[in-house]
Amino acid sequence: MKVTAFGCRTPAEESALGDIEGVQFVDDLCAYPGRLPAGEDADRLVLVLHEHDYVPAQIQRRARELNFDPLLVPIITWEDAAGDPDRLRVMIQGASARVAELADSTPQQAKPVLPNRMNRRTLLMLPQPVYVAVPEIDRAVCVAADGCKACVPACPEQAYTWIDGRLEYDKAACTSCGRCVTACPTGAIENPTVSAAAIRAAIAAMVNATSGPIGVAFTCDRRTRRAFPPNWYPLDVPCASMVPGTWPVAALMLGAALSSIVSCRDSGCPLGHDDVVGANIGFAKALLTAFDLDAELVSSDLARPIHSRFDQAPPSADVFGALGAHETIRCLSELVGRDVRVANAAAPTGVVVVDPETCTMCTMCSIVCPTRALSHDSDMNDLLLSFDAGRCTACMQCAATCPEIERGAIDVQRIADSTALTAGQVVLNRATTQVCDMCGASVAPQQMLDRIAALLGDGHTVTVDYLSRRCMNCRGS
Amino acid sequence: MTEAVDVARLRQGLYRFFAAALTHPNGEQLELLRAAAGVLNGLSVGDFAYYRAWARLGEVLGSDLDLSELGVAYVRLFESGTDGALCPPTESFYVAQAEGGGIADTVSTVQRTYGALGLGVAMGPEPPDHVTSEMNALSALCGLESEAWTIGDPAEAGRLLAQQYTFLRIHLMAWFPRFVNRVQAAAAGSFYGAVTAAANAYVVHDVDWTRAVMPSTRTDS
Repeated sequence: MKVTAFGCRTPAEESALGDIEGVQFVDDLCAYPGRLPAGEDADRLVLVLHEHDYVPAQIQRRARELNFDPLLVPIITWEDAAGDPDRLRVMIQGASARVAELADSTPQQAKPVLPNRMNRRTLLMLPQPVYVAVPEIDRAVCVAADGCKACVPACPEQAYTWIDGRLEYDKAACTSCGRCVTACPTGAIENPTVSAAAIRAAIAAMVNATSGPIGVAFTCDRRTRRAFPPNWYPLDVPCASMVPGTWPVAALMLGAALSSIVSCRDSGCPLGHDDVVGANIGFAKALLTAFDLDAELVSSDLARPIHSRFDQAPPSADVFGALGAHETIRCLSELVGRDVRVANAAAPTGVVVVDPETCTMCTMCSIVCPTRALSHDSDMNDLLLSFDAGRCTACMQCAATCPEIERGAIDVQRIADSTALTAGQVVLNRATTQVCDMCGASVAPQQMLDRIAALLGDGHTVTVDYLSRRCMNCRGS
Repeated sequence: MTEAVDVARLRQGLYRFFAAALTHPNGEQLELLRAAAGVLNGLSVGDFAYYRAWARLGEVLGSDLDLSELGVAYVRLFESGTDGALCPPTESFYVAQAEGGGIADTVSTVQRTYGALGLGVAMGPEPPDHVTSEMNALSALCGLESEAWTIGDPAEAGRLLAQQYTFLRIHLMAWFPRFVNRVQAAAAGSFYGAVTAAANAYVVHDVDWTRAVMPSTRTDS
């Protein structure tokens, strides 16, 4: 995929900086986006503009006219680059590598935004809409119909609802924070501006474009903060709160010397998800500490001096995907050569514990498990409930579904446990199933029948006996 | 800034355009579509997210189109085949698929909706729940909205916008994306692939647009 970069610069910037590799400059591009030349043989566009001089709607319109996807046109401002041509070059390489990995957005992924308020005078006039990228559910991948609702509680705006057996998404309510994207255990929710491959490519490109150590800061793309300390490079995401704690750790493994998730606390972000950002940074620090690494490698303090790179071979696995947290912890464990177990409320990995005394082996938990971390298997009269921590995203759907949760039948612990992640499937519980006298089919696990008997109490021996010996199809015959 | 009346007229024109593009093709109709595309391009169409799909349709429309091939494709996709049309362009087909129920139920529901909106239904070759009928109904509502803006009656314009949003949400959007998916699966690279891709981009956008500009979602200050 070919990426082209255009920029706007003042005569003063031109005389001070000269040519900048990889960018074609157009006079007064911020004010006149129509000057972007047609006929570019490129698939993606990167722009370098001045912070307060361009009108986003006009830039989007021109990109559209030139057949570029406007949602996939990163705009790097001179303020981002602090007027430093080397810094600008690195940022352009990062942005180019990133957009090259992104697929075109769909009509569903564009949301028009107009000013919230208008008066009598402006009622008859409509401003040019600006479009923001919003997520879309890939219904072929979504497993909501099987019981997963991980996106519903993850959304701070209640944009996801479960209505009439269908997961509904309200685009108008969505603030595009991206929390659903990283909360979705199956990767079914896609924001066109973020993908695992794109984040990885951007970090790798920025690291490779510099000879010295750099810091990578995951930042909100609506940020007002522009000036970053030297050698710190912003990597925009829809909202800093969508970044799980393993992402900055993965950035270190890809060659960054330091990494961070920058909250919008200072810019008065209306979304106000600072607490989530803080918790995710806390988890990253706890993870590094457990591996005997410097916890300050991930920090919200961008004033820290940057020393040498995190000198390890980059992981080949998909560290930013739906199961990226697992890959990150596994790879780090291999690199450092030790196992860790970190219990943390912000851990994006989990371990399911089942109490064999209270679990009735109804297997509802394995039916709703979106990643098949929990699964059940039956062999003749044996029923096994198994768990693979390497697939558990701690989405809590199993606990939400368990009918015996109040008796403590199941517990999901948010833990980064490198041993469990590599252990594969382990059996959590097993049961013998009763067989139908009439047709030989399974009736129910013995634990479940015992529970029914206990609930019915004394005096229902005949009923329980009948239930134990006849399957659903043969009852009454 | 664009005058609200111009946006309403553009939307009225686009619905009429897509309705016409999804009727059985003939030479005169193709020429009219080409001319209409030129007129719509002169409006503020580039301001909106559906422009890229619209521009791709323009390229296809500007190419040499074999009328007899278009006719065959139209019949195969939308009218008949050995097992029925590949992509039936009617709401009732998709409602029946998703929820069961009879075709007549959906048709009469749509017809009642037209009545409630103050729209008469002319007896034509297409049923009331046909894609062209629903798009023409929306076009008519956009036309009424543009008149309301012209005479300076924003309250009436707002009411009409709300009606469009409701109709889109309850009727056209309830089935149109599935219809488009079928067309894309059967004939993505064809003229009708381009028409439905552009129409889908436009309709999806129009739901968001009507909701964004509807008075209930905006506040006078």
